[in-house]
Parts: sequence; structure tokens; C-alpha cells
Amino acid sequence: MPSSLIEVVDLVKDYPVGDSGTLPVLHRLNFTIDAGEFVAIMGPSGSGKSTLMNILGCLDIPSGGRYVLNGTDTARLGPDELAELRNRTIGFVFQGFNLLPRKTVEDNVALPLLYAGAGREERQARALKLLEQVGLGHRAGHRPPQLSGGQQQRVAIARALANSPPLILADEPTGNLDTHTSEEIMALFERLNRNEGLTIVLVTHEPDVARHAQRLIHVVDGHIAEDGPVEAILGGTHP
Amino acid sequence: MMLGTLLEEALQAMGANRLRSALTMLGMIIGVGAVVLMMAIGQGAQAMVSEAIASMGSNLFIILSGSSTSGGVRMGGGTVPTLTAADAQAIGELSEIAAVAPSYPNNAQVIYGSNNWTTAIMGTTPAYFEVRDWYPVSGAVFTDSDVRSATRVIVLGQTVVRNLFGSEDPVGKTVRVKNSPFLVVGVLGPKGQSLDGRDQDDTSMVPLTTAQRQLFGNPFPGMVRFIMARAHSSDAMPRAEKSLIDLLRTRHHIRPGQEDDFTVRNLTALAQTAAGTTRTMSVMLGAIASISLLVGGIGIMNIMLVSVTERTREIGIRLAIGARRRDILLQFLLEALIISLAGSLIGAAIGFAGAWLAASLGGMTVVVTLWSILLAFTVAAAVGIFFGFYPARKAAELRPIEALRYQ
Repeated sequence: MPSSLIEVVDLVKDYPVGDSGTLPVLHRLNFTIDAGEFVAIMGPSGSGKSTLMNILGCLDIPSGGRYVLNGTDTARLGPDELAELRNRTIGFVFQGFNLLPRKTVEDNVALPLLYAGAGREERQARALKLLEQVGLGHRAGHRPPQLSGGQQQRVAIARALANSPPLILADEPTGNLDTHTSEEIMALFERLNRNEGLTIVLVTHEPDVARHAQRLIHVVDGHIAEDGPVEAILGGTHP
Repeated sequence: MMLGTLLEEALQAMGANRLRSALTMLGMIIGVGAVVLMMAIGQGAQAMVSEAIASMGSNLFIILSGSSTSGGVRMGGGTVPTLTAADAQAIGELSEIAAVAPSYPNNAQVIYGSNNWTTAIMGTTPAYFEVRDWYPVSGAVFTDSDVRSATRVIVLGQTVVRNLFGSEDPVGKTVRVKNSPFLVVGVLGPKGQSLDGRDQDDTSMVPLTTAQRQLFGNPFPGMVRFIMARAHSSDAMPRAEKSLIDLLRTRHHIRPGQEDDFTVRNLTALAQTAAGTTRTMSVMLGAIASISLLVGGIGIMNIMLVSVTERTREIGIRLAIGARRRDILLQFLLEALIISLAGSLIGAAIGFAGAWLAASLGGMTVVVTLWSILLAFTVAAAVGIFFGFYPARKAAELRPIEALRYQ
């Protein structure tokens, strides 16, 4: 099945509570995401959408079920193999940007390349090219705190693209941004999805942000409540 | 991840927290500085002792005449003239003995022009200079034929020369001892202080026969006060000592069970005890200084632990975008290593400076060896790795999801 980038089968996640009890967070989820899709995961807080996101990002491991990413069953991997999988397959965009404040913008973008073992010149060239792509080529030497929120998030997106991963995972990427900047960032995601064929999975609780996606997975209390085209679920059209 | 890149990352992290890095380094600076300085002082003391031992002559025995008893009062060693020049000659024929010198010393006034100086005058044979490894810097020593014919020639030590002649060259001049003229044939090189602080250069030598017959007189012709003998090697010393005693007992007709009428002292053994003491002191100084190195190492661990906690989020980000545990481990280990190595470099420089100050202001003998510096560096590197490892491993074993959530 070459077209299925993400395959989730009977995925369970529960947290230990007290001495012996467990608190189930995700109940037997089943879905697949094909390469090239733009999916929004929505749900109220506490619904388990962030936990799901962490598992999809290989930052956390499921308690049961299977998660196959890009043909690799993640259950069999150790911490270092998961790190390599994240490095090559996933680009992360976080709500709080998560840039290293002491490094220059260029070095931040080059960091995933560093862990992929790229040489210095290759890293520099690639980082500059990516910064041009998100419209920040002129800010390469700045440090993140010197940039606006929208600019920082664009740096984070450039970093996510560094190793040309097939999948971008964005966790509330517009949560710290104003409406106008949010639109800019979402437009950038749409462009990457349309022009580069990148698969984008986006976690949000804002319907306006979710509307930029094509497909919506609605998570409620650890179950998938709805899964289908955005228009069908949210109603209305793209603003 | 390549080492060069790791180094860059580590330096960047240290540069971001300069004061803290400098303070952590201070522990290592003091530790290594103390070790280098203490070892320099300890080895200086050792060098001083071994110099004193070398000046005495190596593998040396001194054989003293026995004690006399006068009305129940024992007069102490050397009071009964039991040793003769013939004894010395017989000792010289032992296979373990390289050289032997009978000695007949006494104090006398030496006069040159308007200067006079009272010093020890040693009647002896040319072998004495060989036994003591003591050679003239000017002129020559007297010969066996001088001893045979009891000529009035004298060899002067540096202190005597300084007091009588000042800067004048004494060789060829005539001095008077007990109203007899003596020709100065040679001047000995400086020996410095002996282990017990005596000035070894305050002496002069005349042929044994001259001292016995002309200068000091001798109620028992041929008697000497003591005999110095030198063994071929330090290994031969125990055997040589036994042969010596056997020989002298036979020559002096001492029956088994009877006490010796002479005393044999092994000077080298005494010297080795002194050397051992300084070595122990030197090791102790080093050990005490090493404690500060240990404290410095614990300081590194402390700061690295704080640093790991403080940078948990950064570690989370790095893990999320693909850092393996080894990358994180190496990054933090390298930071600890740089701090300890840079600290030990500065510490070694300060230790050097301290040793130099102690030498030039305090007049201490210090010896800085390459070995002590290498040791300090090796220990510093080991301290860096040992105390850096725990915090680094703690950083590397963080779970990415928890590290990312850390505020």
C-alpha cells in the first residue's frame, strides 16, 4: 500500500493512575491518511487530540494497537530509531514555535540537517534556500527573539522542511498568532500541500483554521466522532 | 554528528552562560594549579635531597675507629686509634670495593698573607677524591708519590679559598699551616651543603703522611681516624659491608663473640632514608592538592546538572527533530570536558607562575616536570568525563514528550 502514509489500527493509549488503575485517553482508533492529504484534527480540550498528535509524531508510544508510518511499524523501534524516523519523515511545527533562542535563524533551520549528518556547507545552503522559500532570507543572521511571532513560525516551518520529510505535523500552529498572521501561515501550509505534495496533519480547535484543510477528523473523548471532508462536517465554504 | 559540529554546539552553549562557565572552570583552575604547584615544590625538595646525596658520593661506607673506655666513661667512636693505613690498603683489595681512602682529619689555622682561616685539614690519599667524586676545578690533587714522601702540598676547598684569597687564583701560592709552608696545588669544585647542613667546602686536604708526621703528630704511627670506602655498585653494598667487617675482624684478631673495635656506617642507606622521606612528603602534598581537583570535579557535575534541568526544553526540541541519545550525551559530555580541560590549562599556567614565584621570591627549589603537567591534564580529562557523564546521561535519557512539555 504505497499511497497510505499513516495507518492507525486499533490504537489505544492510556495513562497509569494511582497504583494499578489506568485512565484511557484514546479508544481503539482506526484511520489511514494517504500521501498528499491535508488533514485537520479537531476536538475540545481533553479529547485526546494532543496525545494522538504526539503518537503520530513518534514522540510518545501507544499502549496498544499499531501505528505504521511510511511503511514502518513504529512499535518495533527503539528511541534512537524513532529519532531517526522523526528526523527523516516528520517535520514538526509547534504552537510555541520551539526555536532555540540562542541560535541564529539559519542555524535553527539547519538543526535537523545537522542530526541527519549533513556537512556544514550543505546545511548552510539548504537553510538559506528554505528561508527564502518562507520569505525570510533576509533574516538568516537574526535570532528568534528578534522576530515577530509570525516570522518565528515561518522559521519553524522552514526547519520542518529541512530534511524534505513527506509529513508535516502542526500542533496548534496559529495558537499564538493574530488572525491576519494565522491566515498567512495557513496559506503557506496550503501552498506546501498543493505545490510540493506534502502531507499535512494539523491539530486545532478553531474551525476557521480547520477549514483550510480538505479532510477533518473530529476527536471527542478519545473516539473519532466524525471523519470526512471539511465542508461536509463544518458546513459553509472556505472563507 | 561530527565532532567539529559538536564542539561548536558545546562552545555556543558555554558562551551563552559565560559567568557560570567561568565559575565552574575556577574549581578546575584551583585544583590543577594546586597539583602542579605542590608537585613542583615536592619534586624540588626531592631534587635538593638527591643533589646532596650525589655531592656526598655514592655507594659510600665510612669505617670509624672503635670506642675507648676511660675509668668507666665510654669516649665514643673514633677515640681509640684501631684503624691503620694498612687496614685501608687491605680493604682496597676486596673485590667489592672500588676505592678506599684512609683519613686523618684535624682542625688547624691556615694563613695566607694577612688573612687566616681555621678549617678542617684532612690527611688522606688521592683515592679520597675518587671516593667522594670530588675533582679540582683548578690545578690538580696531590699524588701517591706526595703521600710516600710526605711533601707539604695542600688542596683547598671553595670556602677556604674565598676566605683566604678572595678572587685571587690560589694555585701555585704558598700558605702556612702550623708555621710550615704548604704549596697550594689545586682547588676543589663546590660541593654545597651536606644532608645535615654542614658546609662541605670548608675543608682542605694534605697527604696522609704529611698530616700524620708533620702537622698533627701521631702517637701511634700509621693510625687513621676513619676510612672511606666505595663499593662498585649499590647492589654490591650488602656484600661489601659483610666482607669489610670480616676482613677487619680477622686483621684485628677479634674472636667470635667479641665486639668489633670499629664501626661501619652505610652513608648511602642514610641518604636513601632521607630521600624516602621527601618522596613521601611529595606524594602527600600531591594527594592533598588532588582533593581540590576532586572538589572541582564535583563542581562541574553540579553545574552540569543544573544546566541539564534548565535546558530540558532545548533537549526536547533537539530530540523531536531527530537528535539521537548519543548526540545529546556527547554534547553535554563535551561541555564538561571543555570546561575541565580549559580549566586545567589555565590552572597549569597559574601553577607554573606560582612555582616560579616560590622560586624567585621564596628561594625555594622547584622542579616542574612534563610528567606532572601530563598527570594534571589526564586527571582533569578523567574528572571531566567522570563527573560530566552522569548529567549528560540524564539529559540523553529524557523522554522527548516530557522534555518538550517542560516549562
